[in-house]
Amino acid sequence: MSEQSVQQQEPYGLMGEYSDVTSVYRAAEQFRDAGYTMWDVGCPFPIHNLDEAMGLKQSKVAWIMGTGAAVGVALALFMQMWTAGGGTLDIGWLSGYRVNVASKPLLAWEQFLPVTFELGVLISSFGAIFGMLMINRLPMWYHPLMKKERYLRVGDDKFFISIEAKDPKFNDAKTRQLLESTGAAHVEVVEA
Amino acid sequence: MTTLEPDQATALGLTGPGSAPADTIDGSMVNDPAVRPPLVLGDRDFHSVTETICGWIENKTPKWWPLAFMSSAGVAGIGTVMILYLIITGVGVWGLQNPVSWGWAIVNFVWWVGIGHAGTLISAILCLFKQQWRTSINRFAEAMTIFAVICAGMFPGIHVGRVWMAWMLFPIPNSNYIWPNFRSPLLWDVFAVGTYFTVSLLFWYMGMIPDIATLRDRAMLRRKQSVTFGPVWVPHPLPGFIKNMTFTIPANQIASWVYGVLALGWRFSFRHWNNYEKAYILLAGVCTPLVLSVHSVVSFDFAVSNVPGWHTTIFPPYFVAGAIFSGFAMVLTLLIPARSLYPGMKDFVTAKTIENMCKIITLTGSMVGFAYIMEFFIAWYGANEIESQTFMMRAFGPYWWAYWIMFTCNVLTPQVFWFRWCRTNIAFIFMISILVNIGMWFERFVIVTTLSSDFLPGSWGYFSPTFVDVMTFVGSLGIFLSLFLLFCRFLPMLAISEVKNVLPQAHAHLHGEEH
Amino acid sequence: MGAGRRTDEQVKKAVEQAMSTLHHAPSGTNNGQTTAGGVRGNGRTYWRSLDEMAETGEFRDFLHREFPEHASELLDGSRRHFLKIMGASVALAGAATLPGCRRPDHKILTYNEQPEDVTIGKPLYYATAVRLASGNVEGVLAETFEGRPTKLEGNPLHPATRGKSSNQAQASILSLYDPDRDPAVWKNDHDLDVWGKKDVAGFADGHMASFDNTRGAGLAFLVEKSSSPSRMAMVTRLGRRWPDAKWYSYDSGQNENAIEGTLVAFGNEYSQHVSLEQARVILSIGSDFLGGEDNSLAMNRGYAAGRYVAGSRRGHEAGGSSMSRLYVAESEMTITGGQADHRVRVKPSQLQAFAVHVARAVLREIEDVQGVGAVSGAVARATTLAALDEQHAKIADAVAAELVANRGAGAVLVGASMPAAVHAIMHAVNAALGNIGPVFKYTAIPSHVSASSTKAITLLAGRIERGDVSTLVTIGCNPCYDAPADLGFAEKYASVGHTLYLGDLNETAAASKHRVSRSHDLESWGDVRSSDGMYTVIQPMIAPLYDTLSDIELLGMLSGDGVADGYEIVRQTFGPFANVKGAVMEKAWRRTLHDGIGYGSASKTLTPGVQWSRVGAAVENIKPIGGDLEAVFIACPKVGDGRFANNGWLQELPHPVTKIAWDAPALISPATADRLGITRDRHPKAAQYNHAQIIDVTIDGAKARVAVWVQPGLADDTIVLTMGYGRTVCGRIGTGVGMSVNAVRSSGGMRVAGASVARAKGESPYLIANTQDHWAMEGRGAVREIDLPAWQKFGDEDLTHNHDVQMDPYDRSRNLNFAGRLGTESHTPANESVYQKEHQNDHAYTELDENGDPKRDANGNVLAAKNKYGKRIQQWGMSIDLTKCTGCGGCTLACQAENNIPVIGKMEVAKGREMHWIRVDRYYVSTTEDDAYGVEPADDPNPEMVVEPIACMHCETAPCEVVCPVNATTHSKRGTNDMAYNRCIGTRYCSNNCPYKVRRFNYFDYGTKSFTGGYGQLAEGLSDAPEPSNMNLIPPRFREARPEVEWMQRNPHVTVRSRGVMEKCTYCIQRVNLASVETKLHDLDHVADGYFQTACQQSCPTDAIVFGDIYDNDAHNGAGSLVKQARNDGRSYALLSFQNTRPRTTFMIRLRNPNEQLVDDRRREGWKDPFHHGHGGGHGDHGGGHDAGGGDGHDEHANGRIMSLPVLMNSGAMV
Repeated sequence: MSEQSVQQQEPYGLMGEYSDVTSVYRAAEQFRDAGYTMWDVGCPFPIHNLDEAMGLKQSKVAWIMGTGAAVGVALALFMQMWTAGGGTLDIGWLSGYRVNVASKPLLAWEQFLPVTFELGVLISSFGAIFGMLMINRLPMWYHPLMKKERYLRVGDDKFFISIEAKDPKFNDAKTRQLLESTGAAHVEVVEA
Repeated sequence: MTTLEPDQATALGLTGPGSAPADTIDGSMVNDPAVRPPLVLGDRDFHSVTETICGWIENKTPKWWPLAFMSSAGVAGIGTVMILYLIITGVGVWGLQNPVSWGWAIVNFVWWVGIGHAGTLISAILCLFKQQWRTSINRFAEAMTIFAVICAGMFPGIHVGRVWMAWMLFPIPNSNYIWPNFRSPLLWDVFAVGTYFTVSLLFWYMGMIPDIATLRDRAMLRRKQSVTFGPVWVPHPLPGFIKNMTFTIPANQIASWVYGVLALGWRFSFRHWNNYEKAYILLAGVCTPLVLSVHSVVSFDFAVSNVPGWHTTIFPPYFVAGAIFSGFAMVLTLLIPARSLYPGMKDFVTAKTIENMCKIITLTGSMVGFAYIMEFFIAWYGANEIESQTFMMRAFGPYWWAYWIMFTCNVLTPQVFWFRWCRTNIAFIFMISILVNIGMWFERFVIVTTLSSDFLPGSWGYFSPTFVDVMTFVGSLGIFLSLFLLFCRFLPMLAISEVKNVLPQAHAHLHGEEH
Repeated sequence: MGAGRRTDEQVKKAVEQAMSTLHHAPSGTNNGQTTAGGVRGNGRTYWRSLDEMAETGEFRDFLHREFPEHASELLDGSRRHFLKIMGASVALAGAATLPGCRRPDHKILTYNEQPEDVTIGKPLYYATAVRLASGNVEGVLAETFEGRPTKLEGNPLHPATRGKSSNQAQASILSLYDPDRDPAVWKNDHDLDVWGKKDVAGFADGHMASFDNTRGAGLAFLVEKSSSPSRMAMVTRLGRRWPDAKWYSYDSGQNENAIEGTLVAFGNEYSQHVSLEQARVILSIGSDFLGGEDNSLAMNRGYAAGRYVAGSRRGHEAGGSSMSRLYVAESEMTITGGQADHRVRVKPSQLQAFAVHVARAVLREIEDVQGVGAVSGAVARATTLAALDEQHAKIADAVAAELVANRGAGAVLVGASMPAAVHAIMHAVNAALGNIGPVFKYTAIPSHVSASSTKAITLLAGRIERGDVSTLVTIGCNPCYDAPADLGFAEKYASVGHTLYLGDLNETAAASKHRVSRSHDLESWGDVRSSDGMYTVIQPMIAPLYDTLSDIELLGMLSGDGVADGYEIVRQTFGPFANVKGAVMEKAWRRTLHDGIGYGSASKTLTPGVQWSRVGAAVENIKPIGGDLEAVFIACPKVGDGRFANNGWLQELPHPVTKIAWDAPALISPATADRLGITRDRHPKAAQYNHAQIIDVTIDGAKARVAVWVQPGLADDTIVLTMGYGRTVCGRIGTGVGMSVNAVRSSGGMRVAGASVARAKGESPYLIANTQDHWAMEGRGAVREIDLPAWQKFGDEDLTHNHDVQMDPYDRSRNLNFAGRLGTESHTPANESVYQKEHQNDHAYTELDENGDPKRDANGNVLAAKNKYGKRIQQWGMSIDLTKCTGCGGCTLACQAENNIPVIGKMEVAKGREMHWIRVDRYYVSTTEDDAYGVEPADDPNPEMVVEPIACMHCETAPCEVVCPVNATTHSKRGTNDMAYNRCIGTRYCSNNCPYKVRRFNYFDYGTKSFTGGYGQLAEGLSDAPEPSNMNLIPPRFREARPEVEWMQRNPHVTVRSRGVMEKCTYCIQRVNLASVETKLHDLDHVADGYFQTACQQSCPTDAIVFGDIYDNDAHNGAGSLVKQARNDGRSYALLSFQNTRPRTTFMIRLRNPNEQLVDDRRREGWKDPFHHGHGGGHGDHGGGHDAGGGDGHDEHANGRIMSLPVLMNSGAMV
């Protein structure tokens, strides 16, 4: 309990402001090379190739999305075959009346394709968007960085690099120096 | 197009041919193939981009806006009254009858859905094809998509005879054990349009998250600087009471709250951007077949039936082409006035962008025209008497006028864009875009009224709309415009982060490296 | 629903009351007038508590809500709650049928079961009769549910109707429940003082008694024609009391010329009875004998029997054909004309000439009959002859030759528009040909039926003018509306001191000083004799709904000798009439009530001899007609002379030829329209609505302003004026419908008159509700026809193994028969299901062997699928024989009565939203010889007409089912296409996808909301606002509910559909189910063929419709069910069969039997190869004719005649 409250007293980390893409890109490469793990770049738009400069891995969104597609297709097929009450999916009254529609077979799978496709797209899109939010731990309506007035210009034309104090490599002085050496202006402590 | 903003020096060339060199117009149209034309004009930096786009929201409401909004909301109100009257009285208040059981509601539905195709197409397909000129119009087009699909979704909803039973369309477990019929194209429609609307909305919203975050941050900055909005004078009817009440609207507080909630806490972290970009490109990938599928499924409503003139395999591609065609036209219809009404917008939506759109309109219009001609050819070639008679009836029968309006507006008029003058003259383009909208509405009208003469001549009939039909359609235009005006007023019309991304200074200048 | 305001005790009490009444079978009391006295109280007071209960909101909700909120509580709620709901249901069942529990007071007998067998929900049938115009009657069976008559069908035992009923008889049940019969409505809406029984009694005792001193001088009775022996007895009673009182019988539509014709020819007045089945050659001189003239049911039956023998080709063996040949010469276009093998289209004066020409040609050839010479001389001198042109004379000669060749087997029939002399000469012709006896028989007519109405009304008018009438009692007829215009009867009527009127609300009732509302035939006692003399007791099905009197009751009260109860009057007449007394009489009475006919009461049939010289004299005196146009007055086949104007069913039934509902505009031919400068554009205002121009018709200086409609097939220079419209005082339905022609109908020209026509200036076009606006078939072979010689030659061809015929270009089988070779399927590739073999369409309906092929019995018949108990699932199907169908529309009406189909009004019909489950399509076929291609029927001087009833086809691969998103329409195991109304949300996709367009949508709350036709407000100044208001546009919440009395007609076995729901023919599934239950109860294996009939089948006067189990292989000694036989016939075809819809309703090709000498070579050549296609070339040629100008010639399928007409018209007229 006390430990936690002590930690709460500690700052979130350090933050430095950059004014153009090139400098923040170069700085990111240096932080990557310095072995930091818990740091981040704030930029008003996704800078091209910055993921390499930061040494980020492939996003996992694709996997979530792929799973979503599979779930959607399976769900759609199951739903349609089951409600049509056809074939092996005939499980008594649960599958509803086995109604004869225009003398077509109960499992007229050709006609089930459009809904299958649409549901696949729907669930996979959910996977992409909500997966992205999940990985990013959004929504998160509170963040220490947001309390910094200077950081509020990140959505406009400023670039930031922030290093969390929790980073094993974090050292108040060294990190500050690294920030300044890469051309950061206004290196500030971010309160927790 | 006479209202020119004073700061639009670069855009002057757009008001007419000849006032600027024909090959550059506003500087965006470079004829030299070796030179990449600038995507954003006016020598803008990141901050000026932010200022311009956010300014449309944060600055004082332009004078024309309340007027436009009130009138479109009024029209929407008339439409709502019509819909209420329809629901309490019965669908008989429309002109429907035997054999034309579908009328304007379905025409409007297909028309709106078609229009709703441009946004996602621009966002998704042009994104996949790395067409960077799309960044200036995609937000705009996506918003239009959402509102068009809302209008579209409304029509099948109110068109059913028992609106209050429409929930039976969904596979909801029920005590009767009766499930929807998944063999019906109408049910495919429910899923296709439902999916399309949901995905488009999410896609649109996801694209807006960073921009809303920008707005949020700017509101918070202003809050910290104690900028408020007001005072607002409220007249009070009671004499002797407080004569005049004034108060200050905490506009920035409201904005920071509302935008704050909507922004989901986006903080422009590149770790987020990394996932975001991935999700965006994947969504674009999945939306591309979705866009193609939705109008295909809508076309199945007709193509899967056995009505002569409907039962054709050409419908899916022809509908998709038509959808893109009408969607681009509607984007232009909205974009051209917005471009001249909002200061600085012409720097983003350049003449080149408009020209590109004109080219797509000509392409898709020609595809639609090809489909019209092909339908006739197949009807003749297929040797089905009823089919060929139906097509003759379309062109020369009781609805000949609708057919020729359609043909003229959709096939002939877009061909003018083969001429450079035509695709660079904004007023002219605006006119053509409206003609295309009209033509595409009539295309659907011609298709639906094919019902008037099907297999047995004894049951033939003629459909004419009623006042309620017309006003419901007009009302849907009002709903669409009202929503759109709200969008223009309160949400970023251009994708700020994406526009910044295509500025030259968005790329790191590394020694010896290409990027 | 909650606990509500009602305690369980009260509900229980209500249930008990309900039950006690249900046990209160029709046997009831048998003591005369005791309960009938308090008519209005009777029943009403008894049910008062329940009525109030039903009025409470909660119960109403329960009844009207589509899904009762607490329906699930029926399953899991407490027992008490269950009882409460059940109680409410029963109470409402009573409430809904509230006045229905009004049992008649006297004992009536069910048709086939004892009254104590009353089972709730099971109808009982009682035999009774319905009175129609001119003293005509039809014996009917009334279907009653718990004492509430709901439908009328013909009485199978009655020799004249034989189980069939005319449209008017069928629809008359609706008049019983007409809310406008309520005297209170008269009082309120028309400010009339209406008398009840007590007032009449006072009048009889007071005012009428004063005539005792004058022996009745000054007293006059004007009554509609009736064949009732009881009424005759009343007349006798009145005559005894007031010998000097005058008695006039009047009926404006009476066929006086025919009666006078018999008087001229035979010296006596006779009713004519024709055995058309005996006739090989039939000539109609303007007689619409199939379309509603007197005895038309018998005519239809005989015609169909003679036209077509047995169910297949066997009746038409080559060489020995027994098919009769029909020649029709007429001025109008009638359904009889539509049936004609050869039709002559001439104006009335030429029609007379045609008749005389035929007579001359026939009589010239007859040498062996005495007296003929006298006539033939006179005929040859007849001046009328000059009028006939050469072309028609040629046909007349051919007809005559054929009549002579078929002596004793011919029939010449004359229509009402022909003068007596023409009737007489044709009687003479029939006599000379020896047709009287084998084909024609005659019976005497009671003088009060035969007496001339025109003379009677003229006499009465004269007496009134002279002031000889101080009190006039009028019963039934409506002279203030329809008396000859030259009499000025309405003013004269108003001048009479005391006028007492008994009848429905009409112009005469409104003009009378005292009015009494009249009992309907289904709620009063009476008796009638049909034209062949057959006696029927009219027995009430229900106690009078209002304080009303029947004619005999009124006359009984006026006669003042105490017996004024209808039952007693009829009983008193019955004894002497049947010549029985005491216990025998009681037995005979019961028998007569039970069977609906009085055995031995039929009149003796006579074969009177012709008085040749009188006929000759008459023929020489035939007068010319004159005038620019010749006007023909016809009684409307729907509303008659206007008496059924307040009947919504009849108003909404499309006219069988014009397909116009809610109107009867004047009709002229296209050529005449052009000559008079009347436009043929039917859409001057809006393409969706038809409009007619307004013209002024002038006859003898009198003028009538009417709408005019251009009708192909009409004689040129003729204008057809239909009576029965333009009623000013009628009721909520009929007031203001159409335009009256009575102003130009004078006593000198009651049927035909010379007229002139001028376009009315400044009148806007008049809305016409036309259910079929397109009259060409566009070469689509919807109705297939073949000439008899071709059928005789090729009908027996065994096509099964003919590879060239049976295989399409892709070598797939297409199962063609004779009819198939004439249709589209013969030159298009077979359209097959994507679900091959294992999912063959038969799988649901037939038993399959291990290969997936249908199993067959030893005779090669396909076997129906079996249910899990091993019993055959019966597979229902229908076959409609187009050779027999005349297009009368009886099926449409029967279906409307059976299936609770609402009446929707003129505006809705005009819009194209008619609700009839069966429509009868009518097409014109061009017969032009020289320019066969691309002739519009309107331009064809002499088009033929074909008809085709279209209802749901119950396709096995129903296109409607697959597109319904909510599974609201699916297939039953019995092969019927079923609608689940509760499930329907109204996307209307099914209707779009139905190639036959048989589905009907409830665009508004047609079924439950009060409907007044929208004309009520237009009683004055009819032409000022020719378009009625469409009250459906008012939200249903703001509209009155349908009056409860209208609900009483509803068939409790059929759901009343709500707004937003699709509906269509169900194959009368309620009847199918009832039959299935009955057979199960009797432990039978299956419903035997013919055990029950669908409503349309039942009503069809020519038995064109056959319904049954299509896999019933054993019925009729192994021949299979009738419908199976029909389907196996070479003439059977499925409409649009190339769509692979596999309809369960099939059609049989129409056969025509033309005279070889009257057809052109081209047509005759066609008999040699009827399958020859017009183009001759391959299928690629089909589009060849598609140029913008239209005129694409498609295949001329049947017999080489053109069946195809251009798609594209120059004007909007062909939309």
